[in-house]
Amino acid sequence: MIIPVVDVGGQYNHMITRALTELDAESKLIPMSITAKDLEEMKADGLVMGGGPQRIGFEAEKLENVSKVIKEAKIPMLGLCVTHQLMAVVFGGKAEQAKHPEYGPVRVYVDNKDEILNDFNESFLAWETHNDEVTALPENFVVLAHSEKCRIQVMRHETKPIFGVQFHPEAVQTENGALIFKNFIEICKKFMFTRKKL
Amino acid sequence: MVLNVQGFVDEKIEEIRRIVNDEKALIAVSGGVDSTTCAVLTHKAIYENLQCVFIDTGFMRLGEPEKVKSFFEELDLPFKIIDARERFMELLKGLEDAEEKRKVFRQTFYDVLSESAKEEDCKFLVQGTIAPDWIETKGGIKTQHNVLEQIGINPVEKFGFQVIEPIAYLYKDQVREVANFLGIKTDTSQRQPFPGPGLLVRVIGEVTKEKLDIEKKATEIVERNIEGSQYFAAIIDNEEIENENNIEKLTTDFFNVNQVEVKVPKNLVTGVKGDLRAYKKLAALTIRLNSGLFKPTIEKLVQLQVNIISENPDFTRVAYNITEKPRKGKYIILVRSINTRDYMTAKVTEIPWENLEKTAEEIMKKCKEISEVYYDVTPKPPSTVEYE
Repeated sequence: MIIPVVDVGGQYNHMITRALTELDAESKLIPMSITAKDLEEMKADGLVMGGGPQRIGFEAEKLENVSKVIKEAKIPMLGLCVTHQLMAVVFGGKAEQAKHPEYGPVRVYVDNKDEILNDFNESFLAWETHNDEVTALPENFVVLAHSEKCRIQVMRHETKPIFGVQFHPEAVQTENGALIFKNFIEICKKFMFTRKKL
Repeated sequence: MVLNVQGFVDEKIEEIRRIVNDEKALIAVSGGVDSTTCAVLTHKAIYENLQCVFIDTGFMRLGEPEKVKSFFEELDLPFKIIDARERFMELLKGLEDAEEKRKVFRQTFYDVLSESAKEEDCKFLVQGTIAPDWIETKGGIKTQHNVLEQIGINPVEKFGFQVIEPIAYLYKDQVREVANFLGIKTDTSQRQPFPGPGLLVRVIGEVTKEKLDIEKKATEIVERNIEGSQYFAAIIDNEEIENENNIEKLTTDFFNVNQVEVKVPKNLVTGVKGDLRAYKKLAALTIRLNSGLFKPTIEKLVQLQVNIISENPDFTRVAYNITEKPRKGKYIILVRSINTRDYMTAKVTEIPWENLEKTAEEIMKKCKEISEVYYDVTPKPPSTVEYE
């Protein structure tokens, strides 16, 4: 199982590779200059994208290349924090400066027991650090979890294995955070066997 | 798969041997687990071609240089101390900005090492850099003293040695596993981390001899009374600035109390918000009831802190007064304790009030010029573990 992590410059990107490696996936950081073709050549079974200092509310163009990968890659994708917001923008939704930015521990409530949230409790404490947030859901996406101050904590495409998570499951303080990666690996496995065309 | 320690150690020994060949290497050690692990690892690779040096910057804890010396004698590694205390103090005089202090520290640290490497005829410098060091420096959160190549500084050109970093991709808990495997004593392998620039980054703002001496005493008291993954004292000038904010109102509403006092010190402290460096203000909170200090749970204080930082973009930390009887004094002591596995994110330790009060009392009794003692209730993020 090969799941590389796009390094978008955030503090925790390298920790994501650690979390995936500990779950027996092959993972390493790859640069933002990566293309969908590179991913195919490295036989990636799934793609995780980390957080970063970019303000998607007004400078999404700084991640133009990653936007291209999001559009073109034909494998399961998981965007965390800034790349969750970027996904929303790429698929026609919106991200803006958060009225109430969240830093540190925040309670997240599950709205929809989707496969990416398998085995999670109805609510759990998650670690956050974001200045912007997704304010309009893209078409064909559904909200899976929210917090008191942020409506879209987890989202997915209705039919395709494309997921966005605002909090940081790679932070060890996030309750059962590693489950997100475990579930994502399962989703990639399933995808590998069925090879549904995205 | 978790880290294969045996495989890692074998691979690194071979790699160091191949790179250093018949040349000599220098390693700067602090007595902490990262550099000690690297020293033992490198010694297994190149034996007597390794020279360990301990730079006494003056920012070490009470008795530390002596302790490190006897520890390395026990490990039976070639060891020497370089006294650079006056040189550091002289160069740091008058500097208030956290990053300026860290950069001058780094430059001086490598100047001293570079001279030592020339003297010892060493072409290589081994460093105990670990993952959070280069991640934070590269991300512009703060300048760690041991990161060069990752931010484009060429050490061969600038200092005359090539840098080797055997554990650069490990986190603290993984380094501890390697240390245990190498048979390094558990009091070192499990020891709490201590920053490279030492107490310099816990003396907030300008460093003076008076502040540093008080900080050393307070550190000894906190280390004896408080627990956590990392726990220490910091000192900040008791100099307030005027500031418009809604912290008093947020606090009053949150706890339904009315004797709330918010102090905003002049000096700024380091934090991280949404992966951006946030060098911002500290809110020092006091709530008194008629019967004395109001003592909510630490968990509640952390929740209040989340609201305060979310609504006040100029702030990055909140600390809570734990002093029963404040007095006049030039400085404030901040007590900090966090719990974490990898030091990339961290929780505030829920220290029982009894311990907090006892600690504050002892600090007030033994340290001069202290007006109050506060407990820091900010997790990482939005704060960093250290203050600068």
